[in-house]
Amino acid sequence: MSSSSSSKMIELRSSDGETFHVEETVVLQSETIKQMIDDDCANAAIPLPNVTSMTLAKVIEYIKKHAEKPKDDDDKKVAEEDLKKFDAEFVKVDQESMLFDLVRAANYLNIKSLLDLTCQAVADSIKDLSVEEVRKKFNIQNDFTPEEEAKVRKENAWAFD
Amino acid sequence: MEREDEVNSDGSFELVNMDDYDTVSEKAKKEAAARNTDSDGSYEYLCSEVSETLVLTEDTKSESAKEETGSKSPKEEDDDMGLINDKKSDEVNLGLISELIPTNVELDVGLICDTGFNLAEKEFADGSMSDCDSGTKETDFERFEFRDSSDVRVSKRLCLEAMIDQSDFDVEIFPENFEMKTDIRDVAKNQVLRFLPAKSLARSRLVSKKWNEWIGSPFFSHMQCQSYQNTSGFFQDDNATVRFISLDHKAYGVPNPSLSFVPRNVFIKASCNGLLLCQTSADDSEFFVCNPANKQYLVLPPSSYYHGPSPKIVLAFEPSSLNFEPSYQVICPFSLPDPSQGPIVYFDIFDSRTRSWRVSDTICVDLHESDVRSDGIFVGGVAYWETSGGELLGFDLKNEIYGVQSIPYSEGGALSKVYGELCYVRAHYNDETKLCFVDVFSGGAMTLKESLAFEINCIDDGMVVNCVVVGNPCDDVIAVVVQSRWSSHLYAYSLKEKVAEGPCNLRGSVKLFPYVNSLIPIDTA
Repeated sequence: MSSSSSSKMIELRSSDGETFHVEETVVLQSETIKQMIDDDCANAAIPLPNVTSMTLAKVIEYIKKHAEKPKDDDDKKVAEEDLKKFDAEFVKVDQESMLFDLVRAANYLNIKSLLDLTCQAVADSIKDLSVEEVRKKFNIQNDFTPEEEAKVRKENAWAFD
Repeated sequence: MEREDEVNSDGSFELVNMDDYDTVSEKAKKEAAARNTDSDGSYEYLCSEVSETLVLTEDTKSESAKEETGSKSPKEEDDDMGLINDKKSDEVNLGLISELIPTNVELDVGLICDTGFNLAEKEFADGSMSDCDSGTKETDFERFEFRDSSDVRVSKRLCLEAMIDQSDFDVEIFPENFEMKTDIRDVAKNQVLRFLPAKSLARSRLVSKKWNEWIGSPFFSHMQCQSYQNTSGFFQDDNATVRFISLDHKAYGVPNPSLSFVPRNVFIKASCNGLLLCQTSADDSEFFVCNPANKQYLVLPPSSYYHGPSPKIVLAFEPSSLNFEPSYQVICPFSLPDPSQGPIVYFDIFDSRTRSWRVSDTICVDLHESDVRSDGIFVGGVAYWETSGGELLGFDLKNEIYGVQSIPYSEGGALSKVYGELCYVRAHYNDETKLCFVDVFSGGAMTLKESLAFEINCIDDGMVVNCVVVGNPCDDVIAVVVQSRWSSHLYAYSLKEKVAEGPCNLRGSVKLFPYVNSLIPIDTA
């Protein structure tokens, strides 16, 4: 790509100190970083204190793929298909913790399409679960009193059959 | 946590929460005191700008809205959410607003400050400051803090520098509770839940008090009906006995699948993106629009026109982030015979915003010998009907113009939506290959775009088989009913993913209505 050489590079630093160089045009998909660049705060490496290098590498893979521009209309349809496949594969991660890290990173970096994609994946994985399984998955404490719990359960009894 | 509640001279209320920053806290007090005397709003300015940066908003113009929200007491915020969202454009920052539900106020204010300092500190480290916009604020800011500086950016940097110096702030060390902002529990609640169907959500209310409160809030319903737009199943109307066929019994469902919450005996006429349009069985033909997931319904007022013995209805509804109140239309064409040139078709339109019927000035005289044949479908702002002459009648709801074109009509075919545009889908079964072939026609000329096939394993050899397609205005999942002499089976087939689910044994009629398990509220007041 001819434009890539002239594009400004932005340096990102993960929580474990690793640095990544990404083209500005690519990294602008993150509203958080865009805001920093607009505010002229991105002259040195941007520290991302709650994104690990492993997660950040995945995020960069995603935004790079999504920054590719199809050349013409024919290409566009192929590219759309290709992107859809990429997205489907992207959220097939071995470990759930990785998916959670991606959700948190997408939330923090404010990359809407990645947030929607990863949240949808998490939603798909919990939609059939029982209450106890959901609590366990997110490590949430049941803070209802037995009476309150019984009341809410009764109101939503239809959802438990 | 130490919290300072400062009442501004204009009577508004602001929470400033300083955690672990005693010196900073003092500074804030000083500033607040200064502000109280000259009411310049400069500290608010600083705060709001900082929070602007860190709540990861997508809409930089919503600053004023945030200030407004931030300055209300927690009790009032719930109401505000609606207002803000009502006014703001598409990309209203859901993340931010979701942080503002009452139980979270304390926590989030704390976080805003913490993160704020990180970012601000970052600005300082880079030696550059964000742009400032207000000249008056600039002067006021200097007046009590940095008299010698003429540039508010410099003064802001100095201020932050001072804060950091005095609190031993380290570039690499972030406050311990920084992680809380992106705790998976909070992100799950604020971002993941909106992608869940109504039945999973009803169950999820039992997870914790916070989840229960959030899922029950009107703002959440508004978010969910925009995020969750997958076909969840089909309502079947078998001689006014209504049942729901779920594509995933655990996840998709409604509390009252027989629709007995509607006060009259009804049958289903149309569905669109989670709403059902029902009609009373009696001759008086009263219409109801309902959401079976929350059992809310609206009785439509009677129209002044007679729509014929079996009205051909289209329910038009598309969730929009612009309208906190969902708005929908019911379009009912009715024709008056004209012996010389065929029927004259009028369009009677009910609008939920006005709660009344109105006949469009547009009349259609192009149907020649034929008439509107079946109930229609709403795709991309246009209502479509098949005509008895094998043509397609389209009515653009916004511009109120109509068009007629031919379609590759075939018995059992249906209009549906694929890739956001109207298409005509028909299916046929091949006994030798045991495949059901699905042809998709689309584009201006309705030409064959795709020929797909999926396997059928519920039919014995040599059976005469009929395929009936049920179109879907919501997404690309169509229903294909495979009927033989002895049985009928339902397959849900995704035209995009090219995946079939089924078979599901279908008893009774093939009057099926695609349904989205959404929480769309129906304002009945």
